[in-house]
Amino acid sequence: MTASLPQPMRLREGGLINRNRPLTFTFDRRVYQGYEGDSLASALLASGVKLFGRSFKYHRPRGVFSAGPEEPSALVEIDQGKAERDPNHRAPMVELYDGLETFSQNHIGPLGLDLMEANDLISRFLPAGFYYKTFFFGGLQAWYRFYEPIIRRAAGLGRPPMEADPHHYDKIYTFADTLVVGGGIAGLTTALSLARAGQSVLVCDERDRVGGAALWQGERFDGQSGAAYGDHLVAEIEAAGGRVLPRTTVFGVYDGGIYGALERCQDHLAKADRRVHTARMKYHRIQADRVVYATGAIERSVGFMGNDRPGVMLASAGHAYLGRYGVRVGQQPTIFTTNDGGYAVAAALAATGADVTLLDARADSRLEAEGVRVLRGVHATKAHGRMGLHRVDYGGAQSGSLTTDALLVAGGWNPAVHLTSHTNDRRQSKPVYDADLRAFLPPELVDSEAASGSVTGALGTADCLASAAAAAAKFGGAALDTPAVDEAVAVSAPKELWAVPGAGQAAFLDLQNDATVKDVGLAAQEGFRSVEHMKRYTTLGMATDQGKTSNVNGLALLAAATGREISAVGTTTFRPPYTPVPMGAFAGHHRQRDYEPFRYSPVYDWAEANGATFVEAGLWMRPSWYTQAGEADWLESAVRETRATRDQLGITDVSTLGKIDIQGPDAAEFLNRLYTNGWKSLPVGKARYGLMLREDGFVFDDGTTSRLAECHFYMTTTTAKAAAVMAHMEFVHQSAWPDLQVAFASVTDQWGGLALAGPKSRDCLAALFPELDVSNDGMPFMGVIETTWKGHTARLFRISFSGELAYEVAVPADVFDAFWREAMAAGAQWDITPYGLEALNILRIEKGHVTGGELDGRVSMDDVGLRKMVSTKKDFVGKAMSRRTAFSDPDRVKMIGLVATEADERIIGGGIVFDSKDGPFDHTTMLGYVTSVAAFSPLKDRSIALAFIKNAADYHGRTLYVVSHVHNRAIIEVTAESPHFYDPKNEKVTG
Amino acid sequence: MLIPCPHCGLRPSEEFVPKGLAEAPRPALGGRAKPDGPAWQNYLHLRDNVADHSHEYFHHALGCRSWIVVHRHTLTHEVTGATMAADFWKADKPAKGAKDAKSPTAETAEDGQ
Repeated sequence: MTASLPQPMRLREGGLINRNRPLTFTFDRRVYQGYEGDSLASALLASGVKLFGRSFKYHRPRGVFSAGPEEPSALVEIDQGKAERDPNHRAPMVELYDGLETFSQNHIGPLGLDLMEANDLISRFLPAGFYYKTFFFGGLQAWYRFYEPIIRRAAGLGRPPMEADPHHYDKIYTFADTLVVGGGIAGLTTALSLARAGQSVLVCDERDRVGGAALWQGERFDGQSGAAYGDHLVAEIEAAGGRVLPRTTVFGVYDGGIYGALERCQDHLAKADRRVHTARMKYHRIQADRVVYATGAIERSVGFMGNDRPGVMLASAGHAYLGRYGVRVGQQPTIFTTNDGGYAVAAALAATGADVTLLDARADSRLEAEGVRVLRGVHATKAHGRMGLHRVDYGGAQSGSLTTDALLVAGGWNPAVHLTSHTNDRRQSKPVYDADLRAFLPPELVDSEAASGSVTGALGTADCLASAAAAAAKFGGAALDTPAVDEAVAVSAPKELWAVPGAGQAAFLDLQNDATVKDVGLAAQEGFRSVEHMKRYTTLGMATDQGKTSNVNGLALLAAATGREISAVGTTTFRPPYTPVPMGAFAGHHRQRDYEPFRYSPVYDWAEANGATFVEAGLWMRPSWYTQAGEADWLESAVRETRATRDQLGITDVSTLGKIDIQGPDAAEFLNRLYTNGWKSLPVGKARYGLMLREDGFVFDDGTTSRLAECHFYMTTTTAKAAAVMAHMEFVHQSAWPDLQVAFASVTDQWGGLALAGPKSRDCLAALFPELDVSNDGMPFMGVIETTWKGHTARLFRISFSGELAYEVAVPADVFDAFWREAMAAGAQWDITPYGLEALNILRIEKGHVTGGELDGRVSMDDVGLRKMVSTKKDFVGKAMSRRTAFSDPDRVKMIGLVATEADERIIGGGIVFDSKDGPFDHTTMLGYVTSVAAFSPLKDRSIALAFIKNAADYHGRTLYVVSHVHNRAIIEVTAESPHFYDPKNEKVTG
Repeated sequence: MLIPCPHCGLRPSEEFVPKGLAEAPRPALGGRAKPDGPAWQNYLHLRDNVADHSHEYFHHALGCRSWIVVHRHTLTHEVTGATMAADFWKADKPAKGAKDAKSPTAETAEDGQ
């Protein structure tokens, strides 16, 4: 182990640290030591470090300002390396472990000599709104080329990791009768009372151990320390069946009793102790009937010159570092207070032998603290010491200057009302300003909410315990004995002092965004009277800390500058998250391959073993083409598959088509209302092609539906629209025609399906079902036969998508793989060729069949030449709206076929169609657009396409030009013709 | 948000897919309402977007597959109930804010001819 390293600011005793377990860590590659129980901030302070980082805008040197989640300044990066790098950790919230590596942020060059610090020297010229006002010079081009790159380099907090997050995250649903947010003594007391009354209680506390401010304030409960009493309450809560989650931040309150919480499970462990394949963090979606906000309060500062210097911090922080971590933040500290609270800190520091001076802004205070020099009616006016505080000037009743190495500011307390306001929309109210307490209190709580502890505005332990009992009583908690408390902390509401007289540009309010007292004045002067506008103009209250230490001072100064009451100005809107949450926690395991489920056909394994390359089609993995030895690219494979199908026999997997089983006495009537064509006359044992419209008259989907029995139909939909068609059917049935006696269920996953296509498909089908008559008479076009294959139901359909003589056969999914293999064996004598989506696409484009490329939600029946599909004898979904006059506008684009003139030129998908090669190739001259392309059609010996153009009928036989503006802008000459390139009289499919 | 499915009980909103406001019923089958008349326009396109109690279609897609009409206050997000879509246009509508003027019978009536 390394020899022990100096910790000059650490006291010999006191605090909740284990001096027998030293831990070694680094900050900016320098090695330090702390103890078990330390935070990064406390260990660095103990080691005498004052400079933690640089500020965002002016790059001013900054130290640590707080001891909690509100920390605006001491942001560090943990680890380095492209994937592990994790920026913007708040040093007081980072638990120390052996081997922790940390780095300061936001500087170019060493932390002590930041090249960007020039911003601070010219800060008087960089007021709020500077960027908005200045960078118009030179126009937009100058902005993009010059200003923006420079500002981007200067802006931003920390550096993001450059590779995918390697950690695991979990999402879990968590339930409780009552959620208690905050494990301070008040929250735990309320929780125990409710748990004893039989409620299932969940306590979430964001720190590594419960107890809240009692961990360091020094008061005793029934003779026990705050830490011991907190542990005792936890044991009692757990004994009563409740749960307590430490390191768990409730970051958001949502409708319906839903709360978002982040549990940090592993970050506090040394790397060797972290469990692999176990979540780094868990995102809890908590469902609770009731909530108790025991979120505490956050101390605030006062605006004066240099109040951001390293060594200036909140008084509560100085007290916490002393009480919890045994770190004295200064040998010669100065307290600047506006209320009684500062005296307890001063006394505690004086008791360690420090030379303490207290500046009390109130002239009339009579309080004393043992061993502390008190100056009354006095306020700090300026802190000196760029890299570390060494002197403070004061003014008021007397003025002067003090040598000091720490300045602790006690400006009063802001109840942490954030969570109580997340559902303000619901209750139509906002936090309420209490002029006596000089603090914003939670808005009026609804029946399912209660507040416990200092969030209610309670000052001091006795009042907090009283509020805890009141919260418990609201929810029917059991009576508890109140512990005897020796009040170590004197408390009072603060004197109203948001900024000292004369505070200006270097008097900071928001340390994270470098928003100053002067900026707020400037915003008011320029007319930004709304607190929301002031926030955006000055950036006060933005970024990772969301102004936890600065908002109230800022809006109070805005109120003063605009001559209004603080209550009239109000707060900005608090929104989730309370503190930053990694995106990975929201994603959980739903990332990369696990982002969505994959759906696999029953013959996926066969296809994979036989050279298939797959494409994602929705959630499905479908074979795109099957590569054979010697084939150079996908097109060569797809063209071979196309030719084999046209010449001999092809087989393709159609299991992904949507399949819906429809039954009931009104099934035919229901289909009649869904489809544009008639269904009542369809005989049993026949299939029919059907077209569905949306209710607004546009084409929705197409497919074939077969009548298996009088009251039993089997519908197929396109793969892409399967879910939408099902939801649509359920909608019209349930919302418009609930009286129809029809029921339907998706059976997509229950049936596997294959298509046999090509001149030999009948022979192959006969080989598979030798006892059946599948001749043209026995099974005519659109014929359907339900039979068995090896004892399993098999449904045979004579339908064709390829334009060839073709059959589809469906068998139950669990025997489909065996059936497919048998079909391959039966077809071997005709060189049966499996074909993928690419060949399927060439075949159907040659035939002029439409798919999703054409049915894109913008086309009418006329546009795709399907007007003949419309029954005039009945009404159906979309009929009324399909008669809109706009649908018969002659300017509407309609489907047409295109054939490339040159054999070696490919038409480009998405290309725009023009009738002149002279240009301009823009919207003024465009005729239409290409929807589907066959890169090569064996039929035409060149590239063909389907397109939609204006006045399509007039262009048959004419030369047109296709230009893709997003490809290479080459002008491809094409000839327009009917989109039914192949067998327009349907002789193949019916023969 | 939690949605009280009349069939399944209180369920998280993640199980549902919203469709939009249920402000008018589908015009009758075989009716002679004109495509540009109020019956079709009210059914398909015209929405009042009230800052008040509203009625919205939701599909319990990851549950019982029922289409339901959820009664929700658009300002407070308070959900006061839900009705099966099959029953919604039949029954007297539950109390809702300023929207009560439009009665189902008036909406079902064919427009203009």
